[in-house]
Amino acid sequence: MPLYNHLKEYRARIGVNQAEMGRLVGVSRQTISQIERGDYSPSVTLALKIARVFQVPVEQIFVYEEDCDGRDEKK
Amino acid sequence: MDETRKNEIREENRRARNKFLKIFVPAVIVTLLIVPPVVWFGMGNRGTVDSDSFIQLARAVSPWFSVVPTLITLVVCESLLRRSRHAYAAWNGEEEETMMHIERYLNVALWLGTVNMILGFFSISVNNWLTIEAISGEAEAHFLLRAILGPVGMMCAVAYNYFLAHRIVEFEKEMNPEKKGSVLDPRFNDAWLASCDEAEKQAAYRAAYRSYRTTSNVCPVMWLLCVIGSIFWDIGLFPYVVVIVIWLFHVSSYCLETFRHSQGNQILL
Repeated sequence: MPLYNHLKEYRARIGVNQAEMGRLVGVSRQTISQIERGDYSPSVTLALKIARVFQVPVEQIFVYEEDCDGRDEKK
Repeated sequence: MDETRKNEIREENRRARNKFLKIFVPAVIVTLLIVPPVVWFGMGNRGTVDSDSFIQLARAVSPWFSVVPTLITLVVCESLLRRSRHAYAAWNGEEEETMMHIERYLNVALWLGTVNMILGFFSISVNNWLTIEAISGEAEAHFLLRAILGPVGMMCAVAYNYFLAHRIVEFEKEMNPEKKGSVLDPRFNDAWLASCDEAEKQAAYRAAYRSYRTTSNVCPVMWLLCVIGSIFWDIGLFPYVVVIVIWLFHVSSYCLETFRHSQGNQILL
């Protein structure tokens, strides 16, 4: 799965568990868990909803693998 | 279409054709070598499905065929449900493995309940068939036992399946408050799916597609079993009709649905 995410870290920053996170964005706890494990790539709508909860750009939470490789090379 | 794309398609078809021939040619050879002697042997030794020994066996087993599996299912499913409840009560709200175990227990319980219900339907079918067939040689007490236990067993299997499904659904709704629907509602499946989020819907669609592929493989196998059965026994035409009707409905409903979705939910004829 080429999509990485920092959802767990952001979730820990605001102190919500998976179930509460799911309620905030309108999905189940299992879906939040699957996203964090990388087993499920959220839709654009869901990704934007998640980003809005943390009030950060969506690219800070979800990173496409090629972008990740690019940043590593630049370092 | 440009030349590169045409060559890609040609190469893909060539590779697939080679794989197909590696299976198809041996299958044809085996069929040509085995089928004629089997048919010759079968036609010369054709029996009937309802031979005496088979009827005796069916009579001996049928009173218990729905009762025993229902009891076993009840014991196993209640244990799974109890384990799930205990695990959920002890869950800390974060640990994923506990929830995965709970989901596994509930899925297994649901599957067992449904399988048991289907076996209950089969049991009553066997009972009916035995009643229609000659009952000479069957003791009256045994006939009464079969006549009572058969339908009772089947009704218990059906009732328990609904009762189990209802409790599992209520438990799921307790764990996932956003879920909607009651098992007793005829439109339960629609209500439940509507309350699922995108990931859960995708999982349901994947499972449905896998089910479609499995049934597509099973139907020709069932047809082949009918062909083999008809060589050795006089099974009549009805089994073929049943298999073909199921196959047709299965394929047609899938094709119609994919066509409907590709046209934006409007059927164009």
